[in-house]
Amino acid sequence: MKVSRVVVWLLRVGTLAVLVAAWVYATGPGGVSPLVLPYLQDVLAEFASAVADPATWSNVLVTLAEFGMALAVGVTFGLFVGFLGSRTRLRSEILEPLMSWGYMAPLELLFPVFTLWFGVGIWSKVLFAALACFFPVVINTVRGFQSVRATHLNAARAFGASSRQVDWLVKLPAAAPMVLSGVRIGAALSMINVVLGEMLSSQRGLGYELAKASQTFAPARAFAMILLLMVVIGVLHPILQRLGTMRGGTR
Amino acid sequence: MSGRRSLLGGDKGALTLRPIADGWSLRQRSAMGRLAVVVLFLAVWQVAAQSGMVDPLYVATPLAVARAMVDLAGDATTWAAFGQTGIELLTAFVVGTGVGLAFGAVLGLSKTLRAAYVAPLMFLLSVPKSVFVPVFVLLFGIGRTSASAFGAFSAFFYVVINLVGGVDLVEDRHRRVARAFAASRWATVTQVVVPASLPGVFAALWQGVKHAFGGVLIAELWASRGGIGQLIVLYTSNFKADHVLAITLVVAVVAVVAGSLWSRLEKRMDWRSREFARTGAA
Repeated sequence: MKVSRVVVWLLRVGTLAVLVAAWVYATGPGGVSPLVLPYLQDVLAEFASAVADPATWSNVLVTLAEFGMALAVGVTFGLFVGFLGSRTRLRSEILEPLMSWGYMAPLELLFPVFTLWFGVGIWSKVLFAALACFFPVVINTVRGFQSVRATHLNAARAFGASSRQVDWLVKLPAAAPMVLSGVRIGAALSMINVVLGEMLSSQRGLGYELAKASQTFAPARAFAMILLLMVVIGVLHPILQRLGTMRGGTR
Repeated sequence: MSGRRSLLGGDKGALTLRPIADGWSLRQRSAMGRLAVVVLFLAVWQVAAQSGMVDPLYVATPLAVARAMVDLAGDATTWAAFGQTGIELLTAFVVGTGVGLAFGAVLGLSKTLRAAYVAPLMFLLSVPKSVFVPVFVLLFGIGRTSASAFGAFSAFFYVVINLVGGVDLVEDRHRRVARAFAASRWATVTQVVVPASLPGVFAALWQGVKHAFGGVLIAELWASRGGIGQLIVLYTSNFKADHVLAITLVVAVVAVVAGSLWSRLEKRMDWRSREFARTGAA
């Protein structure tokens, strides 16, 4: 039994319509103060003027640059530590619990001290997000390299492959899907933590604009910034999730 | 015959030599290795801060963190903050998981609703939840209510997606068997769907706690009266990095111990699809 696409879209559009109607009712006849819930038309007007303003796009660039650098730093260190950690069984047994602890810990509590250490500029965000990205990358790299099948290694050795050949031609392709899935989790965490850092304490970026708008009691602009962030992430997320899945498939 | 035996691994003497060579099991050696890594890390940190390579005022040292921990334990404000965050977390978890489980069950049982709403929910899951904190502060004001509500909101999406994923684990052939035996819809749900989707329920509960906690902490860091997040902001603005690190360490240890106990419990349940609990939405 296949679900009709018409029904699916009717349900989606219908839900959106109900939410919009509830919003319009609440701000109109419902009597909710526009300082709490801004008028929908004000939010849309703010959104339009933000999109037309080049300053907005330089803030988008700042956020994306911080995200890109955090991802690069986190993935580089993560792959390095993960690869070295997967070389022997003992090392991976030592490393894996340490990294899962880091992954489970509530890292958001550390952001304020990162501003103490690295200032309120971009570096506190980059390094904080890189730290969050680091742990899942290490975990998946170690697991990926450890899960290479013994028969494949034996076959390679039987054909006289050197250990470097085994690394590049057997282990790397076998570990790649798992490693890439770690990178995808790392990318999601980088984005989350860059935006959080910008909101909590910064001088530029989309998160900063959102924080400024909501702290200066400009709710319409704050809602417009949330909308803009959702659009930016809506564009970025599918691209990141496709990372490497065309070839290896996910695990 | 003798040639064959040597192919299988030589004489018995050679075989018995190997296990004696290392007296410690892999488990013991890895535990010692972990301890060594942690001690080395702390030692390097302590020496770096004392020798002036990094500023000890901002970076603190492991010993200063330990002293700060003692100091914090004797301070009633600390206990009040932990208590408040605990209550907010409990509220957020109960509300977020309750609503999430109900919603997830409805989506799980209806193919139409699942087709319509899972993709939009996955999109919302990918948006950093923190962007919605200001909305909660506008709606509920600064304080316990907004922190709990935001925690519940953060937990909700993860609970729904994990539960729907759990219902997807139910195998079609099991449903067909139920239909072949003319089981009622109720019997199919209680005897086939619920037991088979238990791994998803477990994953949903854990993700619920984890993200409710994260949400409460983010709301407290953003704007709050009381709670762990506000304590952290306070100590940071007084340049007391040692106190911040001490609080973070204690909270992290609690989170890690809880997480490890939970995953041990999950493993003991011996499910077919353990894979799911591990890979369920990060």
